[in-house]
Amino acid sequence: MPVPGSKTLTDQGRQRKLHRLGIFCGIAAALWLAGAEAPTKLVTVAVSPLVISFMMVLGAFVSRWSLPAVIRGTADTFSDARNAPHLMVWGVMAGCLWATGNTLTIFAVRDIGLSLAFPLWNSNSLIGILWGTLLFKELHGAGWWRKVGVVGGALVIFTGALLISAAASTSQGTHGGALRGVIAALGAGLLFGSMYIPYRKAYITGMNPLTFLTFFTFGEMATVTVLALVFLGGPLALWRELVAERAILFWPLLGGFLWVVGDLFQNYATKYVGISRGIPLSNTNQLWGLFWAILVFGELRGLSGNVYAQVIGGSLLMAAGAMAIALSSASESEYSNWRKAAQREMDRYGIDPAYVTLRMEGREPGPGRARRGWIDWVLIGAALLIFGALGAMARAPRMEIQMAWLAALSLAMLIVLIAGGLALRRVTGFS
Amino acid sequence: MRLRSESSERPRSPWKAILGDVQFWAPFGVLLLGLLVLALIQ
Repeated sequence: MPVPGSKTLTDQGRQRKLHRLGIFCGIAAALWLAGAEAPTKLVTVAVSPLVISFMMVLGAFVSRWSLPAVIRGTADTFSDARNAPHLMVWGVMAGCLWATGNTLTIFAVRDIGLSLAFPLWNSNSLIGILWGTLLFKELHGAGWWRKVGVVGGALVIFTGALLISAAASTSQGTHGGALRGVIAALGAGLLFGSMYIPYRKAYITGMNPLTFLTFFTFGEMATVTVLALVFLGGPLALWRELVAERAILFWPLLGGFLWVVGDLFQNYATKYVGISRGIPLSNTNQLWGLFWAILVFGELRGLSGNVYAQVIGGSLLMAAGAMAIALSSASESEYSNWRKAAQREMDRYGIDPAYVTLRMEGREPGPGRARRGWIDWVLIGAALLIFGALGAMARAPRMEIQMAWLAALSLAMLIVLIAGGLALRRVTGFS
Repeated sequence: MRLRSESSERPRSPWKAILGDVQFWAPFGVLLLGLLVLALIQ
């Protein structure tokens, strides 16, 4: 039986294959996560940020239950969870972190705009690397090139964030509340960055991302419901808001769906190449976000050339820093650290070593997965019904949208979805 | 058959293992901080 710590030539070949898959998943995640933020543009048409966040999380909730049903079946999710039941706690907590962070991003978008807020909350990869170093000993014993790459990349990202912040303060007149927007965006970055602690914990144990993210939904749905009820003034007030805004509810719901696809790719990247490479790669979504903002929504028009230079230069610097971090990982020391971290989990929570080893390699521990049942078809049908009903009520928001660029970016997302889905199925069977 | 690694460091109950884990308290603390920030800027 293979145990963590054992290593063969076959393992190394498998690791290279999983590495390439993880890198591709990180890039695919970037495209989809950027697309998911586009519907939050609706907050500029006087819709409560809490209503937008609630609908986005509802879309994510519906998608998270229906997509695993489509891909592997719900029975497989519960069967996987029985191998490491303690991770349900971290799944729910990660959902709470995401829902709170997502609500903050909506305040940030409203106050300083998508193209300015986006890079600020994408500083979450720095937080993730910090937690990885402190809690999972990711950089301990690493070569100096890797340390230089990570620390240098982090400094470049910080410089980029400063440039963006400067641009945010100069464009204050266009949105108002710039300081509040910057605080909200940085707070979201801290929450999203800390969300990688549960992610990391789940994937060093080998859990399937589809399983982990299913429990994540309970945390995110419960948190956003409580936030909406508390801040809007109770269930009646929330219902009145939803009814009043029914014509736009579909768009954040769609954003939630896009986010789930992006996050699934991000989680597979985290599982197969770790936080230090997977998260910075998926955080290049800020560049795609900039394309959406400028090409599709026509943001940043009428500002000075200096502000354009700060925003674009800052975004490019942040992406370059992220790439430096992504490319500076020393594979063997990282895999060695993964095995040590996995051993801690096995010792503390009494997890089957065979399960951990096989799942870390993207293989199935049992004699084949559970079959899809009637409950899966009910979940899929309910999801289609909810999306269909809200889609039928939807009206296109009254804002200038460049349809040709919208189609081009959507096509790019579709291509990486098909390519990524086929690769995940072939190499790991979505494990 | 389910094999488990044995360790003298393993807490007796799952909840004790979770509540004694710094990897639980770090994100939980950040969550409380985030909720505070949200309440202040709302």
